[in-house]
Amino acid sequence: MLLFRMGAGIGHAVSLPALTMVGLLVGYFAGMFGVGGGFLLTPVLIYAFGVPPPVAVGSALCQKCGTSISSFLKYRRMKLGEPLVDLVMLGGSLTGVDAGTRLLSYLSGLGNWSIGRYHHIYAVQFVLDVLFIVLLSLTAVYTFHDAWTSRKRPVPRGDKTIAGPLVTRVRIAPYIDLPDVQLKQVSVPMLCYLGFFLGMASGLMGIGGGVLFFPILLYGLGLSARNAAGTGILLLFVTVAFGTYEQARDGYVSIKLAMSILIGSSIGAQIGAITTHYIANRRLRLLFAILVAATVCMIAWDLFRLFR
Amino acid sequence: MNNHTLGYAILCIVVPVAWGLVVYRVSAAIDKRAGRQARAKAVTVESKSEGTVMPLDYHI
Repeated sequence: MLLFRMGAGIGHAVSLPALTMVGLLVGYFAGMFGVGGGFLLTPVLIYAFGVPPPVAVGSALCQKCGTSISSFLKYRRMKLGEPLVDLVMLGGSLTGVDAGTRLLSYLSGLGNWSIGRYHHIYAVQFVLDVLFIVLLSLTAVYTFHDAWTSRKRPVPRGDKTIAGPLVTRVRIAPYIDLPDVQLKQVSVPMLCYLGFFLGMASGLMGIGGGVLFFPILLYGLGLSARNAAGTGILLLFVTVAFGTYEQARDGYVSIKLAMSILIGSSIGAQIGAITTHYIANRRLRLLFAILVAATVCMIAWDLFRLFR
Repeated sequence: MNNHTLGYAILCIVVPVAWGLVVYRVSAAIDKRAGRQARAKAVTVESKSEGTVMPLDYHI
């Protein structure tokens, strides 16, 4: 049914409507939980569609160029977030994307690893699997724990800005004030290193940062949920655009694949955003933790099959 | 890097961004329309309490 060759090293034809449906589903969850959906998209492309990991990462980044620019304009219209954070983190983030892309190219060039006598594992897939499992497990556990314990709190976390541990404990000069989010004396080197780490995750794993950056802003810096959602989207756009450029230069982006998903996800995100009006914030966070945990199980099962 | 690769890399950024801008415009238009309808509803309810029904668009 409507099978198309996607180019960019994907050896087999892929169903276009199936890709758009995946985009719709990923967009729905992204709109519902306020994340980009990269943590879900990259593994689904690899495991459900058999897309080679570097092409899945590159195409996921390309798709995010579209979603991040519309999110950025929307949040700027609502005047939410702090653009200074984006500017400070930009240098570190771009360096990180470059490092992540180079690492991905290096891992792709390694070919297969032999484990034991009979097992030959595609090196890049093994590394990505392990990284996804570690990062997503941490996110799922932390989100679930926070949503569960928030039952007892009179003022739920995320309703207002309260300086978090990254602001109060990391004291490396120079410092910067962030007036739009009511934070003072935030360490500039800490923000730069954070940018590098997030950029590297983008370049290596194709995740935009919703699953990593949003929890860091919320729990690490202590921003309110509304301001955390609006902060870092300009950074995200520049990072994914640069990442797309680098991956496309290496031949890892299929624009047909990315656009098929983007069309579906644009519609799904609108439906997902409407759903948030009908579900309580705490329940949304619990659902998000369950979705992330399910993704971890899917990746772990795939890794287990490789060893069997 | 040859021109073809550079052109393709730029295309991979420009095409999704153009689509994103279209989505933003459409989404903004939907939000605006929803806001106008909500305001119209509020005025209608308010007017009903005074005994007359007058949608907001009538004033505009």
